[in-house]
Amino acid sequence: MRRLQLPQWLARWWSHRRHGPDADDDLDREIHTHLELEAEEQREAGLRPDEARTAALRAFGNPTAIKETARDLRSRLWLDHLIQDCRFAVRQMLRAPGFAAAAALTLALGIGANTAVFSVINGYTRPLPVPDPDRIVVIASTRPDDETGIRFKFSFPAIQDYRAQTTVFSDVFGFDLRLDGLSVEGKTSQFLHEAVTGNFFSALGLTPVAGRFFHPGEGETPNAERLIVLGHAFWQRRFAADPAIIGSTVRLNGHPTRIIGVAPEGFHGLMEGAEADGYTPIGLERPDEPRPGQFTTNRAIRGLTMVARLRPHVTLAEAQAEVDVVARGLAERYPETDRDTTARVMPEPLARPMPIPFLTNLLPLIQTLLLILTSMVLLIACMNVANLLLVRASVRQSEMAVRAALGAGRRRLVRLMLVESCSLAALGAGLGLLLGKIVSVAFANSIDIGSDLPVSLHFQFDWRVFTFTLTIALATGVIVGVLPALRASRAEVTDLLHDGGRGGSAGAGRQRIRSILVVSQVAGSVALLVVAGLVVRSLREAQRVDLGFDPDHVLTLRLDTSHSGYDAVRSRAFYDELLRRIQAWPGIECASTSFTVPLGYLVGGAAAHPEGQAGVRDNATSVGYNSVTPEYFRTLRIPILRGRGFTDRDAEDTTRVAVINQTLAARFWPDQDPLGKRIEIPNAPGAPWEVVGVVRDSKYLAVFEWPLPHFYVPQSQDPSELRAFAVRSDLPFADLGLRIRREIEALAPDLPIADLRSLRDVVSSNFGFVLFRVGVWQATAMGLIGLILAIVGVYGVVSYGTMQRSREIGIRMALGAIPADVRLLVLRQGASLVIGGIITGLIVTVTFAGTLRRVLVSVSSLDPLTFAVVTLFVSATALAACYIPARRAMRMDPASVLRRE
Amino acid sequence: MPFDRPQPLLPGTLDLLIFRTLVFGPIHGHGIAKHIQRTSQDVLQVEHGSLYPALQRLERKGWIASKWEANARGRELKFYRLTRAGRRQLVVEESRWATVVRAMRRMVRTV
Repeated sequence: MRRLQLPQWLARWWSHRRHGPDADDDLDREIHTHLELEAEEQREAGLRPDEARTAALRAFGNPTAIKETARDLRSRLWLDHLIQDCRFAVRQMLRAPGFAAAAALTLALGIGANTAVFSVINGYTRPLPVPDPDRIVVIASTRPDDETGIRFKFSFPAIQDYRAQTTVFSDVFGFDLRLDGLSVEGKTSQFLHEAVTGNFFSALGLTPVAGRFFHPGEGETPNAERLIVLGHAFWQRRFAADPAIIGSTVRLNGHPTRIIGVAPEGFHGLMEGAEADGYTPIGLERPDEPRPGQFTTNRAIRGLTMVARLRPHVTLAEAQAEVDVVARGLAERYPETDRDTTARVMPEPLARPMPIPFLTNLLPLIQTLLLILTSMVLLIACMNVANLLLVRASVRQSEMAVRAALGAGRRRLVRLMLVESCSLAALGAGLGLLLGKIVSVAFANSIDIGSDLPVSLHFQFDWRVFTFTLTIALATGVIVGVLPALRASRAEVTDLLHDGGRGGSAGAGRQRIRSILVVSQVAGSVALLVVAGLVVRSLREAQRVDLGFDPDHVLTLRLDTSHSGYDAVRSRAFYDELLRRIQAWPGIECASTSFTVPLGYLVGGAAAHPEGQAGVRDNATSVGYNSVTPEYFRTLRIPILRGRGFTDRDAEDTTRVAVINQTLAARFWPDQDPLGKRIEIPNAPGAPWEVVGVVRDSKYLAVFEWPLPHFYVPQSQDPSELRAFAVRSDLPFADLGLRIRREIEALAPDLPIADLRSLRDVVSSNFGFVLFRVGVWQATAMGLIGLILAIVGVYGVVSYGTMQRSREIGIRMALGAIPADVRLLVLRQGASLVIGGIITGLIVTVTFAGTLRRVLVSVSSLDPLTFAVVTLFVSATALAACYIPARRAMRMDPASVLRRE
Repeated sequence: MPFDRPQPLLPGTLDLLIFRTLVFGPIHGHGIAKHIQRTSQDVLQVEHGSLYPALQRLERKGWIASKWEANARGRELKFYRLTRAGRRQLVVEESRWATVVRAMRRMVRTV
């Protein structure tokens, strides 16, 4: 029978642990006999017995130190020592639980904040759950007349051209995010899905968990077979992960559609932040198409985000070069649709959530900012704990001196201190992980994108987060411990032993280091608070920014009659009736329906140009667009500057009319009267639209957008099945919402109601704004943590300094200093640290404030108010922190202090 | 100079001194210390204590072996003796020392 073998080093260590004491005894005995022999010899040489013994000892040296060295030599003692040190560290913590708790909590704050922020960023930037995700690129269309970059999509024929004419990609595919209604056994709900080209799944390299995916080329013709692949989460939620539903038929927008497969778990679609409930072929007939059946054939319909998989070893630059060639070729061959169109290739993670420059540029900036903020918090926390340890190290001077005298080497002392600080850091990291987890869950829940749409934000703790935390915890332990350790070990034994008990004038150098630490802490907190303040103020300003409409006291909700398969006539009758009923209720100021509400996530856009100028301007300008009922402008309080708004007399059969905003007027008819002019919209065939009014500019896509051209047409002349209700009323929204809900259920029981909320909520939570809210949330938290840390730091140093000077203070009082003098003495010490810190902090912040400019809205990066408030706030709190030790010093009884010495 | 003042040991020479002492046969720690002092005419001062870690190290390397035995006066003492590997090591150490001495002689000349 074989015996279980221990690894060699473990076996040796174990045997040492068992035989160690024996070896010690052996050495003891040897040393003892040695001393006896030596003493005997000395006696024979004529010394008295006691003199002989002393002489023997003198010749021998320090027996304890010798034994230590011998024992160190004997085996792999480092492990033994490590365990000893860890045990000691735990004992130390238990002996001073207050200190340990303070230090661990401080570190937990720093580590937790970093973990939370990292896990959020990690969640947002994690690679797609597909094979070789780094090979996936997004190709965005850019056009000179498109300022926002929002027309980044391509037509399906263009995608086919890119696929055929390039060699750098192994596959080129496309998708389009769509919102429809899905009915299962008579119950309709919203269905957010991606319409995808046939090769979507094969190009990504995914395999279905059940059923099958689309084949390359499948469903790319008009009126293709109606098929659905379900998303994993939706499959679990709606069908309880039942594999038997494969092959069964549901209704998509009222039309029978067959389920053929289920996507793998963890794949949420290609639109970051949105959870795709399913996937459909791009050839599916859709209810609201202006040109039915042309989605897959018409070059002018650009509805697909183009995605491609790079062949192995192809670089981005090579891909870009080839794409440039194709784009030029297409522009020449199809001047009507593709002139001036270029294409930009970018790695998929840089195109999240959409390849729109203002979003993709802003996100990394905000992420960097957050990382910098949290590293600053961690740094400040480290300084704080280093400070505490330094203070403690000086309290433990005598202990260290005794250890050194007993023969502990310098390295051993340093290691002891490092093990202690690393244990603290480990404790802090454990707490920090917990804290980070709680915070990031709370954070994920606090994100409100202003919609009922399925959102997927992935902040789980994965191995990357864990490694990150572990690394910073270790680094923290070393950073925090190394300074006190070196100081403690460098100390001269004799100095310490002479000085240790009293703590009078000793350690001017140590006091200086602590002072520097506190100054940098205060400086860091000032910088942190200023940045936080600027971001918070920026958001406040953004909310106060003139939106161009009044979002208060307006309730909105969204309906889509096409989800339940209504035809145009029935849909219109339903909306008219519902609007009529709501308007008739008492307490309703006015109500309207429109295609979209501003700053929501649904945006209407159309290519348009002044009548007769199609030849002059080759490409129609991309213009924001909304289809509204007459009361819309009154409900949103958008002022009509010239002409008129819409009335009930603008009907299907009367002249087509439009209301434009100031920017569009200036863009289309500079220095001319726009009233009576007409707009052509190539995608909406028929007569041009006559301008009857001009309204004020407002915000449409995002709070921080520049003025965009926009126009409105009446719902009566351009009806939509998807409509947003806006109801202006002073009634409580909860009641009002319930009443509207009941009314809709009475009229159309199977119609899903989406996004029932106040317009104020919509405005403050839409996609662009969420980034700001995330930033503010985090910046505020960081600032507060920084402030707490600074206060603790100042308090700690000043009260320790006061304690050290207690004898001096006692003498002063005995010599006739009055309490007020003492208070001044202590406060002066604290104040000089605080002022030094604030000045340093302000200098640092001003130096680096320029980098903030890009994320701030309507607030200067040197905003005097923020700087002033932070300065006052930090000085006041820090001085308050000094006041406590000052009071304690004032009340000191000089007699007892002096006697204690 | 009429006599040499006591000198601290050069680092690294203790091993060689121990080896040289053990060449004459098994001997205990105290004896080694005394022998070094005596044969160097008290010039080389060994702090007796520092001998023991060195002995332990050499024993761990297998160059010397030890055993508790009674001496002539009947006292139990730990005797050290050179092993076969130790004898080989002695040659190595001696030749290294000779190299150092030659080099030093070339560098330092008595005036």
